[in-house]
Amino acid sequence: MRREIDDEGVIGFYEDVPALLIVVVGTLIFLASMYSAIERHDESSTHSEFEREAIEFAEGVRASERLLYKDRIGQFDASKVEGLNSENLTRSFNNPDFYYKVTLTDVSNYSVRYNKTWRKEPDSNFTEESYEKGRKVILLSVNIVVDSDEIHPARLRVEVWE
Amino acid sequence: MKRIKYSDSGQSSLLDALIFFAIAMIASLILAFASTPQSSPESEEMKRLYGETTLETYLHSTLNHTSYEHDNETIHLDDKTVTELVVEDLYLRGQTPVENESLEKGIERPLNETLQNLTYPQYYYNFTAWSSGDAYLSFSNHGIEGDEVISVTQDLHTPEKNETYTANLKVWTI
Repeated sequence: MRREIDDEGVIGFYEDVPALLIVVVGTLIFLASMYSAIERHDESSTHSEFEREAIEFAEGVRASERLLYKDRIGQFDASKVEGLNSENLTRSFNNPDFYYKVTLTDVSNYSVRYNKTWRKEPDSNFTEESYEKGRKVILLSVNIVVDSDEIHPARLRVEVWE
Repeated sequence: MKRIKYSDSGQSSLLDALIFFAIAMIASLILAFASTPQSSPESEEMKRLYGETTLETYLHSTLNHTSYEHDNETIHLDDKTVTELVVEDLYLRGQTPVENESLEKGIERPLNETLQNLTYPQYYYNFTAWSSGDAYLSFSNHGIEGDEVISVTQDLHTPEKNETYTANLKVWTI
């Protein structure tokens, strides 16, 4: 094919086809980048939403009537801690649509300590991958009140996953 | 071989394509960096919540036994809350001749151990308390504060004392 170049501009197969290829490649890269950005944004929104849900659940546990001593938020009654099982805690939150593990660790220097774990177990379809993907851990502190003269400090670890 | 000439009056379509490509690349890079997730406010909220609940819990907690020496006598303080012990410590430091070393060993060390036990391993803390009369106490499990420090302050209510007392807890991760 003959190539013509004159004073008025440039035309020809060897000029236009590479130019077209560059434009197509540039457009594809830009579109891929935009798609990736939208995907990340959506994922981030879902992530934040679930984190909010996890925080609300953790605060709910800390303020649960089934655990509180004289309705004081953040102060658990030692006898209620011992008496409450996982089923009742799950029921008190209207059977939430996520799995959880709540670990209460008494860190006092008293001889009798009150440690407890409540959980809603995942079913058999739940894989290790999904465990890591949607997992949130909220760390809080609470008191365990044995009586008005004996109030233990405790760690409350709330682990939630979709 | 034929010589190719480029004139001033015309413009190569290849040059246009290259300019378009460069702009597309710059736009792609901007998109890639603009959408990189930063530290979300929720994560900040989690830290703040941790700091607030930890100070509140700590101040309400009781210690089964603390003591200090004064005039060759041991004063026992059993089942006192952290608030009561901090106020007592500051009062003794500011208003009485009780030796600071006795207070550090008998009251402040157990106070620090309790806060250390309450703190999760990934967190560091610095606890300070002071009175309006310039008495001051402080303990920490790490000398250098991190970049994102959560600071929580609470007044200690002590109707039986004339001075006002304040406690502050700073927590951070590294």
